[in-house]
Amino acid sequence: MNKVRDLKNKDTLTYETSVAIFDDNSIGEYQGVANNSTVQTLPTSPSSDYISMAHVHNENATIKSYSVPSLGDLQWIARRYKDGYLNTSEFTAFLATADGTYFALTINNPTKLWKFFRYMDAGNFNITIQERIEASKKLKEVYKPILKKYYYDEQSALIQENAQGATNNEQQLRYFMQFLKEADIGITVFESNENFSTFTKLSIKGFDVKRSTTPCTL
Amino acid sequence: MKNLIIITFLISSIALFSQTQRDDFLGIWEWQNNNQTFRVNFFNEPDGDGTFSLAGHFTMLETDVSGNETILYTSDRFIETTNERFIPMINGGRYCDWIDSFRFSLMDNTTTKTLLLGVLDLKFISISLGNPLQITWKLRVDGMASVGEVFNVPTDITLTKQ
Repeated sequence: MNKVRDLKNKDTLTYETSVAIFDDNSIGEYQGVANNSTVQTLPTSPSSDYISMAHVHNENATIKSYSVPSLGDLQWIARRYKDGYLNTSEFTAFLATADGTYFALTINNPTKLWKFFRYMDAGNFNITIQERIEASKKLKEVYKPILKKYYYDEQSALIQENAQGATNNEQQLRYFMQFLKEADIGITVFESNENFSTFTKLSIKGFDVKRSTTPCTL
Repeated sequence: MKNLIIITFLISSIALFSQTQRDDFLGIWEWQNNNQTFRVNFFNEPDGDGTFSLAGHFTMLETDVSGNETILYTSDRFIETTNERFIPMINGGRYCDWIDSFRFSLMDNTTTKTLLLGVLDLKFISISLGNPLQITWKLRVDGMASVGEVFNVPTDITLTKQ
């Protein structure tokens, strides 16, 4: 966990960094290239399943990132699950951001997770045509009402980079929690301290983020 | 009163500038690489409620010595042997002031694998009057990526308005 905790010290680098922990207790550290806020070297088919993946959303003069998980972060988790390289009952994703937010994500329903992200299979030649048609229909169903609304809208996407400040961080968290609820995506979110030693379970009720009154510790 | 007029003028100018830049995307853009052409078509996609969103498709073409074009891949296609068509694979276009660029999402549907989601930043290049518009195209994976999860489409090019 020390390598995960050290991520908070890497939030101003010109590249993104990540730490992966596998079922055989091995640990891998990975990083992206300078001025490209993406880690592209995580194993596709590791010899042992992922039980954790932690990464940082870094910021500097030319890179601004989300104060909450990105859609791409969630897609990465869904992709590893679909490929069979994720221990879903134990898997925890950790995120530290340059905006001073810290989260842990677990999968409470892997079937729902893939059901939402199955649109990724629309062009996949390794599945049947019928499955691709279903995936394509799913893309049409989720794009405008959910993906566009929260992440992609041309003018007013609710979740945006460079939130800055506690008020904006709270607003972004609310939008992210609303997104998870609307997408019915099977992910549970915990808010953490910067040492990733105390975790508070989050939920959304109406327009408010609710925090569990009994935090858990590591 | 004079200050109010100046402020109103400035706000109007900024709004007009943004709208002009947005509309400048509409149409065909190309990048040439020997006998290959990467072509991007931006258009207004109806939202169904009377409004429109900026959207796009991309195509890689190859031209033979006789000038005949062959499509190597395109995002604007049917799922094979069906009448199900892909939605526009480029969407968004939010202006990001820290990089003076417009940020889009791009889904690469031209491989035989699952769709790969990307962050696409397009930036207008300052050019002299009378020359065609140009934009830089910089594409990276959205969020985390694993080894081998790379785009089929170009990731760092300059496109010229046709």
